[in-house]
Amino acid sequence: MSRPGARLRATLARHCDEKIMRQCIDPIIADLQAEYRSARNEGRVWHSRRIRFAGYASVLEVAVMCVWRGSFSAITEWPAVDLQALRRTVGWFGLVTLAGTLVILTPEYWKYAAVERFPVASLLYLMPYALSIALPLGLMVGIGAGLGRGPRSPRIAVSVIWLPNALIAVATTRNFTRRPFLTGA
Amino acid sequence: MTRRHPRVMTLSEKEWLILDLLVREGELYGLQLVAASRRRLKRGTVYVTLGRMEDKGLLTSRYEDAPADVGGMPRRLYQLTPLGRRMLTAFTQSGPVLLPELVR
Repeated sequence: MSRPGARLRATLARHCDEKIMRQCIDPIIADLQAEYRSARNEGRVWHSRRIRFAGYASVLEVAVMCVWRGSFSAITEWPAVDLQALRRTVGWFGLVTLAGTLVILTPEYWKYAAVERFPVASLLYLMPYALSIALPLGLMVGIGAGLGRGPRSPRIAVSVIWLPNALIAVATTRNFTRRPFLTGA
Repeated sequence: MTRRHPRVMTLSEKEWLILDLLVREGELYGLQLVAASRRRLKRGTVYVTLGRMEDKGLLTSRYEDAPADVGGMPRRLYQLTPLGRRMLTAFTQSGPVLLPELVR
């Protein structure tokens, strides 16, 4: 019988420190395996699949929280090169997102301005559509700016690339796993 | 540099809930805590809270004695430490005064 989470654990073990593995990742994977095994033994195949999927989402969520906490708990102690890289990322991300939003909204503004005097409500309505394009663009440029130049430690790569994308992945995955699935362990 | 005032150990609502469940049920797995909390604890966050509480010395954990033929990773059982028990007692006595939302 396959053991869910074993491969995920091996991947995480390469990136997380021993304490995070021991305190956060290992217990959740052990619980996932026990719950999955119990559902399979009872012949509840679909339930076991749901447990597996929801378990992976939880493992990722825990990993993101632990790594995030570890990466940012001592941000004031970061070396100057890492802080510069983070500033570049945040700065370029904000700039490009703002510029992209303005570029997308400006033509619409003039269209609405011909009809109403201050089309603020109409622009707010269009804002999510503009952001859906501007945010990924800003993220891409920000990551490029953060990692593109100068020396940096592996931590900044984790903070700049892995965490935002993992957060997006967790947020997306959680939408599919909102329903309660606990079997009482 | 030494601190002028010693840091006061605080207890969040989730930590209080975990201590309360453990004092009532004894040893529990992470998922059992989630199930017993009636969704007040979430599966994705309970392990982070448990780890933090272990660091504070409120909890201790041990690996279960799993039968050899089952396989898989050993599960982790959590139980209160004497400090956790004292914190729960202190918080239960003063909590309703300091944090009325806890006794809703």
